[in-house]
Amino acid sequence: MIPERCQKIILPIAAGILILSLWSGIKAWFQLPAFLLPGPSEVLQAGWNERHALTTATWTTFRGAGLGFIMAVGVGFCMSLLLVSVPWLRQGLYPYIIFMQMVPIIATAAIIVIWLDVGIQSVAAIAFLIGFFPVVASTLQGLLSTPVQQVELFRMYRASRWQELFLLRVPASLPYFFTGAKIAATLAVIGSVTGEIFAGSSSGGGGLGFMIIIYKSSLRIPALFAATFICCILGFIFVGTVLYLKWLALNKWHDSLRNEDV
Amino acid sequence: MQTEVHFKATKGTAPTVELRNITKQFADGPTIIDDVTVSAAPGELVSLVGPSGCGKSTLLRMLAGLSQPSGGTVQINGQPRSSTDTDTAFIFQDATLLPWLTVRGNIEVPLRLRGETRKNRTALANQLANWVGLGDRLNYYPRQLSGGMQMRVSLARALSLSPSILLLDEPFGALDAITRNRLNEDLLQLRERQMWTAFFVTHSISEAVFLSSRIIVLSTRPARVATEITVPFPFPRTADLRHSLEFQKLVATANEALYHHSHQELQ
Repeated sequence: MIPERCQKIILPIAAGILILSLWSGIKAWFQLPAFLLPGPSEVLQAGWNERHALTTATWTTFRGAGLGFIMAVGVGFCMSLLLVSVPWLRQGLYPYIIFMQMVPIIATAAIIVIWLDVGIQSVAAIAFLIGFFPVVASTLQGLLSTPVQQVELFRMYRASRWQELFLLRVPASLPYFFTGAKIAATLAVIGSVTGEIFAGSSSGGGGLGFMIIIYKSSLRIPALFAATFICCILGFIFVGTVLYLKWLALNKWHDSLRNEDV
Repeated sequence: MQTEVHFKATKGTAPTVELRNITKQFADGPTIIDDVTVSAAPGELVSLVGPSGCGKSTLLRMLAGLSQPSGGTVQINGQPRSSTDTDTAFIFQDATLLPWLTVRGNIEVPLRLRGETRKNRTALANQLANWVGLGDRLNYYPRQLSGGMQMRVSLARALSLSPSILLLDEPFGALDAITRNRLNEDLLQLRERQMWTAFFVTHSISEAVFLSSRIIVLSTRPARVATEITVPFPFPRTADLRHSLEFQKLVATANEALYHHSHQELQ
């Protein structure tokens, strides 16, 4: 038997090799040209050739997504505090917070670009909008699901509203907050790339979404693959950062980190 | 053993606590508590036993101010309980610790809410942790502790403001028999240090006999005082008491009374 730890490393690597060879195999078997399916090496080559354009684009997307994500988390968290403190506001707005999560981002993106014009402000706004509602929905749920007895304990000791909020409800909601932040991190990159497809411009760097449009229209498919691949890596970095922060904040006391899959 | 700084000795200052003609009825619903009068003398430990769902916990919550009676009053030293009374500590069925705080942090919660200085909090937490035998676990998180230890932290937290009234809602119900007995003994030891008038809700008759000076047996639907059993054993009591014949006899008598009254209700 292979130890479990080794399995955790070996199996994904084996699967990766299998997928890459399957990819190359299919391409060779059907004799597919690069504009239909580029091979792994062609993608790598295209990525290298386009490295200057792609680096600039990645940096642009990173900034747009990062800005939107930070705003989504920051404003979302403050909004949750407000909604938990003002019950009538919460009751009025909560259905719309759930509803807004259902709005397709493509449609939103088009509207945002009409309102804010092309550029990073639109991209960040789209990344913000797509992440904001999940953050509010999860954090609010966390703030409201503090165990009744803990709340009673605080009330028995005549805790002020502020004490109840910041010493009890906020720490109790952190696991939920990080769940929302993780969703927001995933969506931030997707949102900003979607935004760039609508709002990217060649002036000042268009971001990965814009490059994808360029490569597509000029049929540079290996480069398109490379750009898409970089989007995934970027999303991975965002989510990884959130998971790391979550670990820092929760590992000492919360059980969820014992057996969570990334 | 340890220096007892900053701690006010409440021994001998515990109040008379009284439930007077308490009734409880939910809107349009049946009466669940009907004219219950129970009192505890200063420093007395009174147990409430009865069939599950009879309203014992509701009575305890009324004493804590967490629930309001439909009729009757809760009186402390002859005065109606005021909503600003902070001299009461409540111990829940489960430890109700805040998982993100260490043992120290949890013991300090009431002190923090009251705005004690850090220096006082630290000194008090150290002392209380020693009292409950967790002096070496101050930096542990609740999930690193056994159920019994968690309950000890809960106890230390409840005692941190030197309460004069202690209300315990089946606090040891989820623990194994050995741990439970140990905690019973420790509770009586703590009582030698701090004096409280205490009400104790339990399902275990032997626990009730061991801890209290009086056992109130409640009937169910609605809850009424069915009978009252006086436990004559003097304090301080030690573990040896459990092995005495008198103890066993009293447990048997009390069990019979409880069985009799819950049985009657079922028919």
